[in-house]
Amino acid sequence: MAKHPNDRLQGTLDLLILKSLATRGTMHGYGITLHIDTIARDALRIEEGSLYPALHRMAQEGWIRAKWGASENNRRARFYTITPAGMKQLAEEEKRWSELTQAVARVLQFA
Amino acid sequence: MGMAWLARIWNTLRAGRLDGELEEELRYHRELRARDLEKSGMSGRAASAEAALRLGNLTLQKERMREMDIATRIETVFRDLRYALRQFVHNPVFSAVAVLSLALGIGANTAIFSVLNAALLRSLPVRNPQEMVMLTDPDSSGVFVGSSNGERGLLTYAEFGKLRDRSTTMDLCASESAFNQWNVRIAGGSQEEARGRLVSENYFSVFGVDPAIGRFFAKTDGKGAGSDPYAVISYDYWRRRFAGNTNALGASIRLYGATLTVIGVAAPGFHGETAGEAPDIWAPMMMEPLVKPGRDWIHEDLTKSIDKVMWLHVFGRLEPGASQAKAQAEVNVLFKAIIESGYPKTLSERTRKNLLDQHLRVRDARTGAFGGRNEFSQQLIVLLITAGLVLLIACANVANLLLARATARYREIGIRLSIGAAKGRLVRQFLTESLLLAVLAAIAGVIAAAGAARVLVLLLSDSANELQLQTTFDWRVLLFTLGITALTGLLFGLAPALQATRVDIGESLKETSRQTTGAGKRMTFAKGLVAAQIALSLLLVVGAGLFLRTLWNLQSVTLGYSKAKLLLVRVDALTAGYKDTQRPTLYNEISGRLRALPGVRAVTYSENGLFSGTESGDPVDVEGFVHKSKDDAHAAFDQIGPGYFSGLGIPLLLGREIELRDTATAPRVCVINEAFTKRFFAGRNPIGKHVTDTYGDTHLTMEVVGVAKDVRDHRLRGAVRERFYVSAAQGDGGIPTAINFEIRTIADPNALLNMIRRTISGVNADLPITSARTIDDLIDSRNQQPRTIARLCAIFGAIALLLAAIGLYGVLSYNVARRTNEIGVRMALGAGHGEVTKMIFKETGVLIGIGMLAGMAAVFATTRLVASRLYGLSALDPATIAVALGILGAVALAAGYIPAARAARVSPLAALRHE
Repeated sequence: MAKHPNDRLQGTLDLLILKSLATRGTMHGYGITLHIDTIARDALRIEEGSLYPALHRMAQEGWIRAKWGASENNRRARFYTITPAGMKQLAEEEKRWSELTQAVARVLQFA
Repeated sequence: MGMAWLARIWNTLRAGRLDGELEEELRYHRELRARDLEKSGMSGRAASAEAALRLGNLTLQKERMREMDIATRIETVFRDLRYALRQFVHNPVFSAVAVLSLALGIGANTAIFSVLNAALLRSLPVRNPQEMVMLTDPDSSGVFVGSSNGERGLLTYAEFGKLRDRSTTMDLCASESAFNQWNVRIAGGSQEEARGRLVSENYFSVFGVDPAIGRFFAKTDGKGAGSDPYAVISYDYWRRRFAGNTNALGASIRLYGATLTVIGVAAPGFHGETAGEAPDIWAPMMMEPLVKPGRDWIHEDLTKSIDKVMWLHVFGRLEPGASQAKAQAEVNVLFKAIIESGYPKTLSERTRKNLLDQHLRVRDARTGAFGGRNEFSQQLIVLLITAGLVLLIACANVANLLLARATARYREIGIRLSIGAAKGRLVRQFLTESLLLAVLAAIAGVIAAAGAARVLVLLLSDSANELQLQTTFDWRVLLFTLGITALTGLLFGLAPALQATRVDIGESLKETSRQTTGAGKRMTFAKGLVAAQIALSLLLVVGAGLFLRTLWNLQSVTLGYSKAKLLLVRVDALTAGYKDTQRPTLYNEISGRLRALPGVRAVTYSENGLFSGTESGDPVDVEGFVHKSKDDAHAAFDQIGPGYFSGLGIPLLLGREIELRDTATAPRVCVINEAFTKRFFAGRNPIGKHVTDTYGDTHLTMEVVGVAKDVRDHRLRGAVRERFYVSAAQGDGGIPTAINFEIRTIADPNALLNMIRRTISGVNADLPITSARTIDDLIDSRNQQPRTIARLCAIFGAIALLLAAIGLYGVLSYNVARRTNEIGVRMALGAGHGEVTKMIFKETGVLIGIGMLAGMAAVFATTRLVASRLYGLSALDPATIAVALGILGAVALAAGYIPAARAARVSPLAALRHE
């Protein structure tokens, strides 16, 4: 498949989702949104609708697992859990992210 | 996670359901967001508007997801393909062996199937072929002069004409059943050969074929004999002979007594109605009396004689709404009326009743006519099954190779499964690999098959008359090849894939686990495959042996006279204009001149010749023989020249042979064979007794003057028929119109052929020589198809043996490698080289034994199906089976020897260090 132009952005969203699931365990989509909002203190706003295609794609990649279940208020909701493959992917994404930010930081420092 | 891939396909197929689920998820999200916003102080309406805004474009998200489903599916397929290709590049030998052995199997099957398709399955390239029917028997061909009984094989011209005029259910046309090798002169050029057929004037319009250029015979043609001197040529002939030039229209074709003008070229792809025979030229039937001078089969007075000239195949196109059954009912009513008025009024009641017992059968003719269809298809099916078995054996090999590789990847698979890879996805990856192998093999196979099919057609055709079959690669062949490719891919791919992914994760990750349960199970499975290969190979080798021995038996049949340097030359005297009274003189004159040639030892002649394909037979009355039922005395006969028996070297047991003195004016005499003597004279002396040929109401009585030894003159199989020989000069109701000269030479007969041709032309330049072949050639062409079957089966058998040996070798080698440390321990504990070798051999022996037992069961179950194709041995011929077992055993032990020897060379120290 051709690389998406906003590949980096997509990778960032993946990273955020995987990280959320890795630290908080099983969550539904809205839960993930709230978690990211809380952590980023509203500094990073994701378009909420784009979360779902990303979740769908990541489930297909085998990084996360989706399952219908009952929510806290007893409604039917889809819950997502990170898989071992997802953990591996997370580690890679984290590494890449820190490499990128370090590189950017260096550039800003010495430019 | 389950079968993620299947789930994805399911998702794609059920896009609606997916959308529903997404909507539910998004609605839930929106409600929660709105609730939270309301809690932070927003009004209800503003909160829900803000929630919807934040969620964004719903349709766009749905679209994105749907795209993703298709895109990721395609992407993973490509990823698997890339992975598979990488595997192939890493293992070039493995891949080459796998692709080659499968290509061989797929190619052979495709080639055989495409011949089968061309001969039997493909519809004629005509308008609405499903409407075409046939009133005659495609297995009959030639010219039958005489009377018939029961189901009629061919029709006469008069019968055809009446049926055509009267039928309301069918539009009828006719085509000459014999396929001619004509001597023609084109545009005044020199004599050349062309294949051709006479057809009724409405032939092309009934079949619904269009001209490529020019026109066809029209309804206005066919007014009377010789009235339409036109010819239509085939597209291929037009390209070949006239270089596709339009000036072919108007070219003249001199065809014996007729001069025809080319008026049209048939559409490309139309090769006539008979499979295997592709005419170059079609001539209108009304030209028959000129094309075959002296033989007018168009003007037939039905009531003059009981003899009918049956020479036509009749085809019909069903009228709209008419069924085959309705057409058959109608045509039989019409036919009954035709034959009732179609015989002399003076016949005895008994003869008449006998003659009127005839009927027609209407057959489906959408695939055209094909003489020997059953025989041909049976042979091809035998070959197809054989090639199918070879493909199975190749599949087993590839399965074993894949399995061995999967075992080598045991730990990798374990790791991948443990980090959450879907099992279904791994299975899919294995299947992608095996299907890719199968597809590569199919491509190679199909390329080879195109050539192989042509070679097969050549191998199956008579040396003098090449089978004309267009083995094009049509949708049916494509479907067949795709089918077997998919089947083979799954067959050798699925089992290893399932086996390989049945991995105990914990077990696989232990570094030293060599004898894992997975590998143990794999060995059982692999050994099972090898045993199956041995079983199938045994079946193939036995089959090949049976066919080879049949061929051997057929070739070594003793004829009762020498085959050495014997030439048969057929001359058509009637076409050159010789009358009844002139022909005996002509035949004797030619014999005399040929006999005088240097290098010629002896010359004689007979009407039917030897192994010529023509035969005569009649009911007889024999002096002193009492009939038990009215039709129980029947004998074959031939009309022969003087010195026939001495010329051929057939011993006379009693009396004298036919001599020059047995002329038309001398008393009628005959010589009978041993079989005739045994059957009708049963111990009595036949010399001087009388035999009467009782054909219809004519009775020809002859005195027996000699008894000849039984010989094989027309058939190699079956019992020798009762036969009597009459003098050609006296004839059996007429002097033979064409004659076969049997010429025994001193040196190579083919070297004399030109001189013989010149000598015959020297007698009369217009005498057509219609055939000139050695008896070896004639008999060989009889055995052509059994020989091809035997050879191909032998080749397939050898390939099967080779593949089975490779399989056995592979599995045993792997087994020895796997058990290196066990063997090392055994040897460290004092086991000798001999004991280790014995241990491995014992295992090999058990494997071979099981395979052979299963193979024997298969032999007992199936070889009787080919019993009718065998000659001179039973389907369970012990010698053949014993030899097959011996060959298979020797090959298997040879394949097993190397691994055993390697096991014996294992050094205990090295083996333990290996651990």
